[in-house]
Amino acid sequence: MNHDDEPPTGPLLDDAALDRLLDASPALEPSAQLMRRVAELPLTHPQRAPLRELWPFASALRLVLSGALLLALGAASALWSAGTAQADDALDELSGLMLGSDLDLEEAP
Amino acid sequence: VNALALPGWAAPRYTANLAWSRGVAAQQEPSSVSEPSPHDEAQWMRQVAAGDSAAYRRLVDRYLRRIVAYAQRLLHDAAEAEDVAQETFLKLWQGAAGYEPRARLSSWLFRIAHNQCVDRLRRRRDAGPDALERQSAGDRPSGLLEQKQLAHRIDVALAELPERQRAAIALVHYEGMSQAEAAEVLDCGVEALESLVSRARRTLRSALSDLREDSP
Repeated sequence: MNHDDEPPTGPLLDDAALDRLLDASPALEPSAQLMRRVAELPLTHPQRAPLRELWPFASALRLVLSGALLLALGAASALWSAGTAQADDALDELSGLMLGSDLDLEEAP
Repeated sequence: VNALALPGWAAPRYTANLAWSRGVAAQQEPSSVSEPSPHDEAQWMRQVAAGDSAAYRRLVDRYLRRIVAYAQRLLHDAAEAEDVAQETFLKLWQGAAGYEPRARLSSWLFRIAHNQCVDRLRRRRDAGPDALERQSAGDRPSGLLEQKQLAHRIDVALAELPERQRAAIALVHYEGMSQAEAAEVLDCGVEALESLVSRARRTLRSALSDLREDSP
């Protein structure tokens, strides 16, 4: 510590004497009431869930990857539905033809 | 360490602070064999974040007295110091998940307490001179015993220091923190902290110079 710039105002306390004086000022002890209040805080104040526990994306990269995965799933689902729709049309036509011919056969003498 | 018996005082309960000064805080916990490492404390904080009240109690045992003493040094008001300590531990309990082990736990806690003290001192300043009087006078009666008078003189000298100098002395002298750790609490550089301590000590030496052992 640098004390070179002290004003020359006569004899002052030296460092050790000042330390001894400061030590003569006692510290405040916490009251029993405070100790009880502090000990009971976990009971009286439930913990709040931190925001990051509610937010499923720990990082921006994970957020981007999750978005990309959702887009890919959406695209795959759309392609699959389009293919299914075409197959359904073909099946409808086929079954119509088949049902129609079956009826014809039943009505034949 | 001589504990001071002060039965006549209404609100505050004081003991000598030597156990806490110069980094020997372990003396306040005779049962603890060794100081917990920062790693231990980080582990306790993770446990607190998971709702472990036993880990919370360990931290209360370790820090409550120090936080109360620090707040009292800054505020010179026992009731307010206890309110600050309670708020600090509430923040510890509810905000443990936000604690980053990069900072020392002691710095993190003392900073919470310090910020609350600063808020309260600011409110006092806004409230006017009546509220400030409480700070400069302290809440200790004077004139009962020589030792009480001495303690009162020192308290008044500390109370008259500028707020950051008082905080620096409280952290470095009374809490036994290293200058780096105290600088973390006060959110300043080590050189600035050194300067605060140096100026505070110079002012105190001047204010208390009549208490020299060889003075009449």
